[in-house]
Amino acid sequence: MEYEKKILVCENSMEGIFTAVYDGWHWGNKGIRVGIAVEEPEYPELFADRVDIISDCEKAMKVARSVRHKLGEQIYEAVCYAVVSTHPDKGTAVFYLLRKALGGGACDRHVLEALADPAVSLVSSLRIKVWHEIHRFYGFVRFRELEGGSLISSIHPENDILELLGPHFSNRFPNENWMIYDEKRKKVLVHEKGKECSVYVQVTLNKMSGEFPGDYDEYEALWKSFCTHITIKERTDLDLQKQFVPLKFRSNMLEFYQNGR
Amino acid sequence: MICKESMSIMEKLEILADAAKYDVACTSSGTDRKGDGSGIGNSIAAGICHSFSGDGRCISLLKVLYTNECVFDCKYCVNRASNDVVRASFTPEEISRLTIEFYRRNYIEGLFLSSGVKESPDATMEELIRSAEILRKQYHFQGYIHLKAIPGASPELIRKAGYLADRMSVNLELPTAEGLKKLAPHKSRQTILRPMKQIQTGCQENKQELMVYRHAPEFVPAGQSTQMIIGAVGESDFQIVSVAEALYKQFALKRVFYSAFVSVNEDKDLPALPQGPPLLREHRLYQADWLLRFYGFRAEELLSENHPNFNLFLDPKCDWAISHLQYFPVEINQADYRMLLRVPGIGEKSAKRIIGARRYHSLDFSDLKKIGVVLKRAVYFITCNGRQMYPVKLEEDYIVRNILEPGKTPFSSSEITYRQLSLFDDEKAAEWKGESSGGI
Ligand code: SF4
Repeated sequence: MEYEKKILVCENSMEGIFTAVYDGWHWGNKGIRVGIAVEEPEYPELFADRVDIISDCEKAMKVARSVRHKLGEQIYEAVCYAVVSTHPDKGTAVFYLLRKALGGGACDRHVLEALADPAVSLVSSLRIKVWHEIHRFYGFVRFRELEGGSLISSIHPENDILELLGPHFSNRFPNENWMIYDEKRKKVLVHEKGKECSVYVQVTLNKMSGEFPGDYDEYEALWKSFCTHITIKERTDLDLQKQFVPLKFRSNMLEFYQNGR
Repeated sequence: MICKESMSIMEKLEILADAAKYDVACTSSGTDRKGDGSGIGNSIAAGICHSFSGDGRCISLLKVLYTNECVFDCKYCVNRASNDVVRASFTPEEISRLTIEFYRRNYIEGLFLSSGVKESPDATMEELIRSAEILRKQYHFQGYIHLKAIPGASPELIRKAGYLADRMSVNLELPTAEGLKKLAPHKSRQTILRPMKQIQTGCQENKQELMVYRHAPEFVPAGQSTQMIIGAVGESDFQIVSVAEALYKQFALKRVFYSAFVSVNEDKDLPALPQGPPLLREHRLYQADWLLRFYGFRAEELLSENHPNFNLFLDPKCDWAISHLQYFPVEINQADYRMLLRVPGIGEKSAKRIIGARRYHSLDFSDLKKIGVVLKRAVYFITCNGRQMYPVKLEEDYIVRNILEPGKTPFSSSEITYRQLSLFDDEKAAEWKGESSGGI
């Protein structure tokens, strides 16, 4: 017997979710409800079929390509941002947003405006959240110089945005060797001078930025001093500062280390 | 003059960052430029904040003075010639190296270089140019550079600087010409407005050039900004916003910045300001500035000779709406973009979203909430399909009583009237704040 709802359980990655979208599409066509879960559901849902999805690069590429071509870069970006967020329903929301935009041969390039739709509304709020975090890290990443001149930075972002930082920093520092390490997910984005970025997973780095808060190099000391001297004391407003740089970001920003920590 | 031989970079930076902190403009916005792979850097039009200082302001650029030596004697400035302070100067090599080393550690978007007037305006301008030149030509730096145009520098130098900088600024300093004369005797409206005009014309011509030759060098691509000090010469808000409006219109400025006067020198011509810098007033001016630039308001709609200052308790838009109730309520499903923008609680983003979303279906209050409209404020001024969210009165005093948070004003909330609020000025507010903080 076929239930009226399918729960597709996939890997928590762009490839996994896009494969699930691909595999679930024909059920959508038949009016069967589809949920996409990136984690083993805590309580198995009654009256729903559970389907394991095996990530498939080719299927994922097909989905990516048709979203890009048919719906344009803006919607593609929104979907990618939603996919790296931490929301448990992100996969389902992406699925239904794409159904709404492309289902039944439609091609709605303005689908993001239909905010009354819960799937659209969730995707666009996730997009804003993730965009916000990416943009924050454009500013808050701090590189330390290692011997030999390579630059290393360590972050722990809430959303899985490491790869999405690649284009910005490669364009900005094309002639530097640098890497950004996601402490939480144990993976590292590596850029070699003049080349494209690559990501390595399951990496543990032992010598990290912020590990020796006492020994600042010359420019680190200058930067700390600059941040102190640029403040207008008569206008001190630490709450406002906290609002802009929440405490959770500060562990990787040397200007916030107390001397000797 | 106190001048120390052989200062370390650290000592110089301390002095010259300290001396630059009152300059407000720290934005890196306005230029979108991808790196071409040959050097270092790029630029993002929206700007990026890299940190925030203890006063809650964004740190985006290495904002320093080239030197705090100065032959001018502006009364409001720590670096004035007649002050006895330690003086320091960078060299072009030092400042460019510092910029690059900060930049590659991702501390900053670029450099904001201002300066005191060392020897002469031209001599100073040349040093600023040299610093930017090293960055652009030696380091192939493609990040953001903001250069100050020194009042009195020659047009050739301004032009040269313009081809190196993303943004330039000449500070207007004070909103009135008399104020300038009184407090900045070595500057004049003319030495300030002339380079401003030159930069504006240069930008316009450059746009034409770029249309013909796509690879022509860019002249001040992020446009120019200026800054004025608020509360140093007894000017009214109406004077300030009128000047700002004129600057936007006649000089095509990208931004006008407002800086609440901080008293650093004792001088009989300066106000004492025992209650601290007029921060709330500055805040209201920024809100009004926003209305001028993005919301289609004109200065004389917001204020007038008879109503020369902003309401300290209501933001300028709310204040405008309450005193123009004849335009309300606005019907969400019909009003045009311009009118939607005038509703308190609806910003640019939500106005655009309303226009987009109502193509799909007619909107009600729950949709507005999702869109991001601040209903708490908007509810008095709008209808959805002819209906109010809940019954509210379109009446000045009623709205004021409901919109103000209790305890934020010196009046008990059941008695507040709009008129009372409007008559409450800076001086009374200072007294009231003094009282309330004394009580705690
Ligand atoms: S020109 Fe005036 S404002 Fe500028 S540094 Fe000299 S004294 Fe200060």
